[in-house]
Amino acid sequence: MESVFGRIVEGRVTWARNRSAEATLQDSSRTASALAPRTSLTGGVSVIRSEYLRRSRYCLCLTIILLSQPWFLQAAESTIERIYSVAYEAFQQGNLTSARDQLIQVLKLRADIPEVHNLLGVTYDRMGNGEKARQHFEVALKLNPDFLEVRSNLAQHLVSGGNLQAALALVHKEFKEPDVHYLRVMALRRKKAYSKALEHALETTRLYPDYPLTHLYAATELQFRGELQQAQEHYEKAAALGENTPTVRIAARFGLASTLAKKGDYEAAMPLLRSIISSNTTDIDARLELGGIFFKTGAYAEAIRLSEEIISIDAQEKRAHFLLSNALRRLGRAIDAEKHFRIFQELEKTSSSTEKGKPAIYAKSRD
Amino acid sequence: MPSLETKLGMKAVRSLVRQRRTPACLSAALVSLTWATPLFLQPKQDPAPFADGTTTAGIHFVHQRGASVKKHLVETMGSGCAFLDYDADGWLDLLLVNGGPTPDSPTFTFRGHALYRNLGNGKFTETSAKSGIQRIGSYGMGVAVGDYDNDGYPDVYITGVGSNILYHNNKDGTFADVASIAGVSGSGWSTSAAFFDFDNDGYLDLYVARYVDYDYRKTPHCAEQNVRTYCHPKNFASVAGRLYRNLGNSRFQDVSKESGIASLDGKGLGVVAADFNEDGWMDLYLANDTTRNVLLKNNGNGSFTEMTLLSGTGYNSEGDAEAGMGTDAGDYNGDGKMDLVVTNYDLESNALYRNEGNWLFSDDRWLAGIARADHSLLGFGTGFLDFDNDGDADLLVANGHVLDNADRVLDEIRYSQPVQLFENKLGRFTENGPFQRFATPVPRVGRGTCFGDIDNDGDVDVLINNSGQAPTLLRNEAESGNWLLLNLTGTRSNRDAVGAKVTLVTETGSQTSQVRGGRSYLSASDLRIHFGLGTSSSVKSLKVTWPSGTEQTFENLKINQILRFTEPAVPVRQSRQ
Repeated sequence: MESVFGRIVEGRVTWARNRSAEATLQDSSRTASALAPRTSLTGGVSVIRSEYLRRSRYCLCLTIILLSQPWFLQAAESTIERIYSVAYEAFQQGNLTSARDQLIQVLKLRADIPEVHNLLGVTYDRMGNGEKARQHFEVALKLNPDFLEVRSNLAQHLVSGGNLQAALALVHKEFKEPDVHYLRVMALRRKKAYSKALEHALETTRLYPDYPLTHLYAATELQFRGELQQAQEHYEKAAALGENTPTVRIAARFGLASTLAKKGDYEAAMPLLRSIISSNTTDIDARLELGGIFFKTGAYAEAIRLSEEIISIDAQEKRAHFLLSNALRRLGRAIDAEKHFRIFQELEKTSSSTEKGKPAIYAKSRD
Repeated sequence: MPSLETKLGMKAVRSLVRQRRTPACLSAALVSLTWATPLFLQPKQDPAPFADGTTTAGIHFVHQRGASVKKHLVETMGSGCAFLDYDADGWLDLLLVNGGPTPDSPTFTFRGHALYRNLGNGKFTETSAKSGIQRIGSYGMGVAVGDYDNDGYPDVYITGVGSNILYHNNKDGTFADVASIAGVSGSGWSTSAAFFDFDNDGYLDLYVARYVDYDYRKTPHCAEQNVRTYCHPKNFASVAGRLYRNLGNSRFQDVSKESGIASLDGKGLGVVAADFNEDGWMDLYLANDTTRNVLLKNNGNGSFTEMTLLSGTGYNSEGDAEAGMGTDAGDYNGDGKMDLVVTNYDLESNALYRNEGNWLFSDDRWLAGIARADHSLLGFGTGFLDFDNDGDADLLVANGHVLDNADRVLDEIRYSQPVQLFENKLGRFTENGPFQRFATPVPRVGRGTCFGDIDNDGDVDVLINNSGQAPTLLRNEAESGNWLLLNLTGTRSNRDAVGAKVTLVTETGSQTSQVRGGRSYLSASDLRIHFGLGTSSSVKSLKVTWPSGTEQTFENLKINQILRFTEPAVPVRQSRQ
């Protein structure tokens, strides 16, 4: 069963899972939005090209000029494509500042490509600039009212800002009912009404028992609440029902693995995590979870290996430096441990300063 | 046209209701069946292990926090309590620290701190005025109790915002403020304190945790949903705690710098002193709010080395510093090593660090079941106690939010919160249901919590000082096993025997405990060592290792008694390296 929100889950798997289950929920709006550009992803650049051409038809003069100057068209198109590619690459690597700058460059050349506004909105959102993010989502939606990804992004962004009514108003018929329920769950979380969010998520699983995402949402809520047995059951259902949807399957497997790890069932958790890692060579969260298990079970060398792998994927991943530092200390490599701890501390400072002002659904109530 | 939300929501609800509607006659039958269920078919209710005995004990104190519209953070963080036998009559008395007014508090009559004498018949009588301990000084926060001059009578140190007070026990039911003479007045916002003998010279030294650099005139305006609230500690700079060395002449010397304490950065709230590596020197663990907790190894030469990073006790396993409030050390898994518990903010979980030895700890909050508890609670006072005398360390956590308008600005998180009692079952904790339902049915704003056997009946009772409310005295009424209560008196060691280690062997196994300094949140507990013995009918052997290194072994001890052991004046056996 496909839905726009289905792609949100894909986002969780890809990079939102770079956080704890709680933090994943916390940032689900970012995650959700972040997915949208990736879903056009299969060919972000070709989308731009077709959009470019389509809109060109409305400008006769320009068309004449462009037709008469094919080199110009190709050059402009090629420049936009090139910059967008660079921006997208930077975005994927987590270099948000660079991505933002490149996308602004694209907008200087053409300001009416919805995908560019969407990606810029997502970038701003991840950078914690909610206002700018919203502006770009709105422009993108204005340019293409049928752009479901951006509609989803904007809706979730609004929910994160506490505006459920406006978010629901954005939701069209083409959105599945469980997805609308998910918006409500998000809104409840935003209000720190965790019991109600859980209640609603569970109710949604009763209303739509065959819809894998409902089980996934409910399981995530349950895990956060420490209801591990129930969480496990819903993760298992989500994994079974979403067997043919890779994103759901992976998210459910990860959730299941982390739940099992919390229960101390490392033997059951490890194969799940290994399967995720083998299917996604750049998966950070599965490595972190597995590294944590190795650490807990005294397999420090393995924990070090995984931490180093994560750092080679993303040198800014503070939790990998933390794990590495701890594992190195346990093996008596105090100097190396200290080095990574210092990096962890530096990253901790940076992340706490950059996350200021970001919507934090699971923020401490005094934040 | 109804909104999409209404349309979808109602449709779903209606369809559900239609599917599940129960015929009226069937409902009536079900109701009558439920009412008619004979008592013998109903599940047996376990009795509550504690009962609220505050009023019957004659305790009428109400904590005053001086809440103001300016929302000074100090107004919501206090205060502590203590169990101490100040008149040395063998019965634990109790002390409740009061908050006070802040510069912006509305006018009210401040009643000062409250000292209650235990009459030994289940009743307490207030002796605050006579004792002189009622003095209104700075805003009251925490309390530490210790016989710093080894005269056989416990002295009292009360921390506050501004300066601290050291009350010397005059042995006649009165106290004298000697803080200035002793050199322990301190400054800033002091919180928990711990008496412990860090240099093993036979005199109790003093560690004082400090929270943040707070200036009443510069309190920022913080808000939640446009409603003014107490500020997050991130709005204030942290301040290092202080370590005072007892010179043995009723004077203390500030050795914060020499010991390395002054260089530590953290927003200190909780402290516990215990010997984590069993080398005979008392170490320190500090629970810090939003900054990493700190574990300090006593080097035995007057200095401390931070072991936080190696030990893994500074952060959660994700590498996040949590909002540490209260803390305690105890051996929850029966391996003889001191483990650690730390209470944290709501939406975090309380931490349980299992001591693996060699300064390595494992964050076992999930495995031990502590993290599965309600995340909407904000823990303060805590302590290991064997409430049911079954031979293992259970846990109690007093909760209460810091935002006094939480009910208004937060959706589900409440200002007043329940107390939690976790029962240890083979190293895994499960919450005791009857306790919350019957012993503490009314949620309160829990803060300082202390533990001790107030009626000398062999089980541990609990006192909680609730912010802006009456305290809660929980009398232990558990159907419990056998017990032993040890009253240790040092001679070559400090008289309170803080730092002494006791290992006891029965037919069912062995247990280890230590006389710890500090513990919980802003509070001081009974220094006697309590052992629950379960069904064991005798104690095969009991070994006391005194802080001086002297060891004593006793064999074939009778159970269910309070034993007093005095350290031999001549060393029996030196065990310390």
